[in-house]
Amino acid sequence: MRVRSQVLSFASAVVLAAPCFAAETGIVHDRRMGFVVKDWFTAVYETKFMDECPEGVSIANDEVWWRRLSRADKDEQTGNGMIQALNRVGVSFLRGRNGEHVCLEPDSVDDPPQRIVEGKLSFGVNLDGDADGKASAKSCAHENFTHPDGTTGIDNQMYRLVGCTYGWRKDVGTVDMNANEMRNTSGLGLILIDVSEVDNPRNDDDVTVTFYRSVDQWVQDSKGAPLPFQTFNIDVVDGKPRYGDSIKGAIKDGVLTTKNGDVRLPWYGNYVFMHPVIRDLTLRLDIDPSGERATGMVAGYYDVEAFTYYIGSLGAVVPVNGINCSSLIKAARELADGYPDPKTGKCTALSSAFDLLAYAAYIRLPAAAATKTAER
Amino acid sequence: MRFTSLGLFLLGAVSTVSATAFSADTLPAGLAFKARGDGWVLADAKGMTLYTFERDVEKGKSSCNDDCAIQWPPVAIGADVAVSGDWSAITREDGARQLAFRGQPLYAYQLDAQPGDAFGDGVARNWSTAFKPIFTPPEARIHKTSIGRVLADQRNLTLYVSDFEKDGNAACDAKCLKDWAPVAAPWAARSTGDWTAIVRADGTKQWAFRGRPLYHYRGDAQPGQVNGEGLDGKWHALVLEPPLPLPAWVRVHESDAGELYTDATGKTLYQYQQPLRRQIQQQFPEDTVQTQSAKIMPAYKPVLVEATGEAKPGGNWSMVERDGKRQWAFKGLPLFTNDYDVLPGDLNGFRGSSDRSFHTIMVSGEPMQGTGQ
Repeated sequence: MRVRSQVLSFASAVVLAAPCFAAETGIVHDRRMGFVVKDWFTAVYETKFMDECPEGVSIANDEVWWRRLSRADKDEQTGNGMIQALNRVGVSFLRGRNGEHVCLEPDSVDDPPQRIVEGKLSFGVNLDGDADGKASAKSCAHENFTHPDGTTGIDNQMYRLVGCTYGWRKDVGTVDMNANEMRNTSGLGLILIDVSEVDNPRNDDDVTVTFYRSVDQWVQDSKGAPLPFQTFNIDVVDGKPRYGDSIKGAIKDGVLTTKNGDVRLPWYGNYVFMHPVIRDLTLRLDIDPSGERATGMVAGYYDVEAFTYYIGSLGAVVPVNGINCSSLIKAARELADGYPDPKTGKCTALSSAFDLLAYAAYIRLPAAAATKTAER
Repeated sequence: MRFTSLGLFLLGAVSTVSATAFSADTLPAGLAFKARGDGWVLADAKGMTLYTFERDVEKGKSSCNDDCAIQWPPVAIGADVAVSGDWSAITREDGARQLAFRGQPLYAYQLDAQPGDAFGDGVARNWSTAFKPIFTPPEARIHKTSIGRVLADQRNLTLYVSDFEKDGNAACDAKCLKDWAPVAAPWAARSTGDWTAIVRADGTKQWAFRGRPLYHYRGDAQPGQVNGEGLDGKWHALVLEPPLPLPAWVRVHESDAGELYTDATGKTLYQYQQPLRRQIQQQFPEDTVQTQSAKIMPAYKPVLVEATGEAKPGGNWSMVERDGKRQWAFKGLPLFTNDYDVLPGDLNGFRGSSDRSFHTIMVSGEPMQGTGQ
């Protein structure tokens, strides 16, 4: 029988109530410090009057469907007005030319183009290393953003794609919020960030950052925030971590910054399990002086295929977040700016950035955790 | 409405059993109980498994009508047939009589293809084989685990026996008891059949099954766990019925959602299920309630029999004909892999959509956790 080899099968709910050291070295044990990711939000730059979306927000799948119905069709769908609540959500998915599910087969319908960000400012990083957005061996032509702090050359086509869709906008969007909530309350696939070879938690020019999947759930305080410094076992089978890509990094004045590397991450949310490989991933983590919390950003190239799968699996999340699958997925293909397909020349990945909130964690590894170096 | 009928198994015309009065202790004509390690499964005259529906909670009524009754044909009984004892008849919405066992209306399952198939067991967590379990005292029950159907306690925690205890003698000493907790029997418990209430050295009573004292393993915390199986080479879960066999090309891999079945290369297997109405349309073309496409997305590849190099069905694994080719199926539903799955246990092909669903097959037999299924 195969048993998920948790390092300690009974330790899943155990909280090591370690004191919250203010001293800088208190957060490091065996030259390692760890974090568990609580929030993962697509980085979206918003202006007060939504100037970045001059065409407005995108129109949801069910509304696109409804607007195209003739009066006779509407009468039929509503039983000549006798049906009080029309299930627009379910019916509108199956509006492909031959009744296909348009979120699973986005090419089965011709919809208006996705409303995309036309602003000039964005969060993110310069992933391709250039300032002009011209095509190269590694990228397709695209328009760069400028960071609100004035840094030029920012690559963030994911923001351009989703920034004018309610689902990803602050306060109203629930795509990421739902996913965070589900992951955090179920304990399915929490992302762990293990920083090893740490000599000084505030300044160290050579550390290794490894990404694992947790098999444990956390304990929350009375305000619903995870207690820092809890213990998490990593997902292991036959003595080997199921995830565990590593990148080199450095810490300067409490800010951890990594080099770039391809990292396979666990992902669970909105009833979807995924294993996205974020290419050229780079992490910046601003570690609180107490060591209890860290905020930061993950940037990298996100595969269009993985994005397509995610959107196609969102189900009822789609209409309530103003998403029109077909328009969104087609636009993702058009806006992709990284990793051209050698055969077609079309880019296969979107430059992206995600905001993180993480809490300090003790990460338990099996005796000889074999990690894979992802650094490029 | 289409019925399966006692003595005449078919999905076509309604028929009735002969007008023979059943005694309380006699099976209705054409039915049979087929022995299994944990009890007896009810089958019709052709050996096809019969089922009960958990949503049939109102006495004398069936909750499975319309579309449901096409997928789960009710077992019809003639108006002139008298029933008694464990057997009774209910009147369905359309006025037809349906046979019930211990108050539960009986059904067949459309996807069962051969005698002995029990593909409907566990479907939607609402369907179970019509089953008469072996006797168990209130402190015990039967529970399905990854190593088969085992004896468990009321919380479905697995019960164990040791190799060094036989003939009703409890020999687990103080050191042993740190890991193993005797299954307590009430002070008034009496020995019945396979069950013996043995008296331990401290005067407490402990249940023994077929002469072997029963224990909990203290390392089991959740229903279905079998962490004590094989410990020290002398402790074993009390398996009443081993798990159904797997084809040689099937593997078990860990995934983010638990253990699941893959093909020999580690690619996750997905069960494809069309919506019920589409199945109806295919089977009964005159029923034009649905006009949706049944096209499979290109990323899904059928698991073809010839590609696996094995063509021996067994247990829940069978073969179906699809697009002129023989394809493996699990519980009667065709199997696919997904091109976007790269590493063993990847879940990139899971689709929970009600339109066309692709579900994983979890070793636990339960729906995949975290998917709202």
